Amino acid sequence: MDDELNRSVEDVVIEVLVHLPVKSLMRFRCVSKSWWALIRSPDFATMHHHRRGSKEIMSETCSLMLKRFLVSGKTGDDELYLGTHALSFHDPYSPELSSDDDHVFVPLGDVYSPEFLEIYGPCNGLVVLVRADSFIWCNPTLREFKVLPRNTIPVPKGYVCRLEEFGFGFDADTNSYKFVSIVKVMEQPTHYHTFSWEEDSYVRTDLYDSSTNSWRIIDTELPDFGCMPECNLFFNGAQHWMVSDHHVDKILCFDVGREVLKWILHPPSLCDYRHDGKLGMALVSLKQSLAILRYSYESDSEDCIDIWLLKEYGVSESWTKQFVIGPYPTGHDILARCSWQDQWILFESDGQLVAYAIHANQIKTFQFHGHATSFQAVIFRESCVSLNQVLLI
Amino acid sequence: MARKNRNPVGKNVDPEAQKKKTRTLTLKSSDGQEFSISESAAVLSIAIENMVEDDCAGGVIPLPLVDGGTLARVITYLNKHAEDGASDEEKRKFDEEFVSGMEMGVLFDVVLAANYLDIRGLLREVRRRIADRMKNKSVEWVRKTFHIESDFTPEEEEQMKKEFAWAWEGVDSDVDD
Repeated sequence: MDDELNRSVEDVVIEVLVHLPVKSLMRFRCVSKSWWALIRSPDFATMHHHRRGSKEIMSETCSLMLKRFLVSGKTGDDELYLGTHALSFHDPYSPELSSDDDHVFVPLGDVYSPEFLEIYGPCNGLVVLVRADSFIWCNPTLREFKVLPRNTIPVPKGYVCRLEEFGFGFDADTNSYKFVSIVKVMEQPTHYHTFSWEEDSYVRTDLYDSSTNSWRIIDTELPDFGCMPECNLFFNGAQHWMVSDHHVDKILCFDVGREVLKWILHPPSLCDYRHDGKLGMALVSLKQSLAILRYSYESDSEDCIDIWLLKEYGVSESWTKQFVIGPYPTGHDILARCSWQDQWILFESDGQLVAYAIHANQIKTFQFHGHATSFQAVIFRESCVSLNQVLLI
Repeated sequence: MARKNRNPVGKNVDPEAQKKKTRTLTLKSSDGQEFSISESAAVLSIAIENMVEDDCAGGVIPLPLVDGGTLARVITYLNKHAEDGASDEEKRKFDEEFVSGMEMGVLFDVVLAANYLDIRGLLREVRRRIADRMKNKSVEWVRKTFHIESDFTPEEEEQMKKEFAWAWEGVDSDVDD
């Protein structure tokens, strides 16, 4: 009977701990060795990340990582602001973001040309900051940063690599994180020439595996494609990018577990509008489906935002135009991947952060400003996965 | 808590449900106290429902892991949630008041009972309440409340504290609320 009671106490303690914010957990690791071992175990981290909580708990554990540029008061130069802000849903009709004062700046050290810094993710609450060819893996909740080992896969003499697309995801079968970078290998440009795709150029897919701590080449054959900025999303075990292949827009996906590339075609009705004015597109996850958003960034006008859902994953024929929202004032830039609780989509509009409601004609404005088009953001759920534990480097 | 009432009132009265309302069961706590409860309220506990279905209940259902005081509280909860015509809003308010006055030790007894008896709604409510009360507490408070003795050396503890110093910001004082 005592055993049964002890087991039951243990179960209940785990149940309670799973519902605590990461900040409390990091403190309570000190309670005892058994709590320490429990909280740092990968199974616990998974349970914690995927727990289904009440609204109150959700509101404490969802955050926004926001990048923007502002003119610095001190130097008068453009300065990078990168921080995380807690999201709260106490009132579902009016989400709130914690103010500037609460936010945590990401210590990037001496960031040379920060305008090239891009945020990728999230996957299990983790993000990657990409700057030139260095990848900074980050658990924003734990404020942990790890620079991935440099990709040293050689290129033929006289050639150089240029990073085209990047993504990362978790492979549950091998319990490892995989980082994929698609590079174009092209001849070293001579003076006054820029990179150009020649007959002997080729596309290579490189992968870094956290379990083997090494880079390797994935056997793929890709044509010379064009990238669309910020159109990437980790969803359903695969990294997705919106690309343009000989003027046809498609979605390129990399299945992180099977390590294969696949294509998903766009909905035909989306392609009709392609050359019709200044249209932007983005990939988001909405209602448990992969979704494409199309919006206008023509200034001083009003337009609707169209949303297609891929009803059956991987089946291009299953695209359905599900929502038309707005019209909203245009001249905005979507913050890719940012949909909230299937209710809100985040945009930057004239240098300000705004959210548009999907189900009602509603706009929520936040007091976050920056240079127009300098915004980038991801929404993540907090995670107690320690990078130091995953990556033994 | 937007859960649908399990026994909607008005439409097609199920004779079996009616019978459950009038049939009573006796629950016996670890310290030998006996409590009467309608079957319809008792079966909100999946564990009791299983015992009733397996007909191993006999006359009295012994619950050797639940003491009398805790069982009385659990029965108050079950009765409210089995009440005809109690709206979701009413139940939500009841839940709020039900747990708000309880001390941590009592909450823990109730959550253990809810876990053992498999009463999902109660488990969720009390678990949330415990997590809410714990989240801003100090390590010492947690040890005292859960009767845990530290097996770390002060040096080890200091090291861990240094590693995640931000997690020690904004901790409440050690007064139970």
